[in-house]
Amino acid sequence: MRLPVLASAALALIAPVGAAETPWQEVAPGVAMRLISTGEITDGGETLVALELDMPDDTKTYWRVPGETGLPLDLDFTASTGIGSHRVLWPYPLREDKNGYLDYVYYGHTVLPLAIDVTDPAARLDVAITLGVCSDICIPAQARFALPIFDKKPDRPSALRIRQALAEVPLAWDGSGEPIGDVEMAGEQLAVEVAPDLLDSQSLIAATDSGETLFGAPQKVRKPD
Amino acid sequence: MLLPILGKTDNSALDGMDVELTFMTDRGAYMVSRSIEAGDGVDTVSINDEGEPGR
Repeated sequence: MRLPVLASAALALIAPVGAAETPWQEVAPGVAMRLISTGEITDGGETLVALELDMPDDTKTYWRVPGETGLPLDLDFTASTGIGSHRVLWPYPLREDKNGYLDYVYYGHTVLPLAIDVTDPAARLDVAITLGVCSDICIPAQARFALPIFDKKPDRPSALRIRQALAEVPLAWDGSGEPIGDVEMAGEQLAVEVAPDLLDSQSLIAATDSGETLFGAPQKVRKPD
Repeated sequence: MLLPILGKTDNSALDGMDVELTFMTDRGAYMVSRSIEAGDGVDTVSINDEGEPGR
């Protein structure tokens, strides 16, 4: 791995107290990353931050389930203080079938929101990040960011960017009707009953919690005559 | 719809496993969770975009 080039970028650039974004760090040629924050903590003790990636349109990173060739996101919060669990709120990805390999990706400018449980109003994030970045070559890009959670002057532009990304995050189905019926094994395939009037059948993505089993693109099916 | 299981997988291990199904609608992206059931052995034929039997 060509990590030495990235080692300098891995040195933490500490944001000033009260800032709701860290400085950009170049994590790969032409690719920069930073941490942004709403600077607000809800009554329920949760805050929203996000990884913002400034990538060329032909450069990609990966979804929760990266696919056959992708690299998964790794977040290490052990140096943080005053926080509990966290969830990455993954926007709906692009399914890419390239050279016979299937990956789930995001191209170009990308914002990955994170919901973080805050146990102390003076909480401070200190997170080490590794994620796959691919253009002509693929590298595990690394960076480390530190940022206070609470901001006396919440950053509206950062909050707006995070909320725009949240609009792409799938919600639990709350509509009328049942878009998906039974799911069962059918030999080497997964058979999924869908209601095509409620959803775009070709957009269907199946993933287990671990992501270890990978499912391909959906194909229409009919019962044999 | 049929979704091929890619790679070398012990498919029997999928029985009963929860699977998250994500999809797009006119109102945006949604998801549901389902448990994978054992198949009933009924043959099915997948149809590709050209309307021909697929893999």
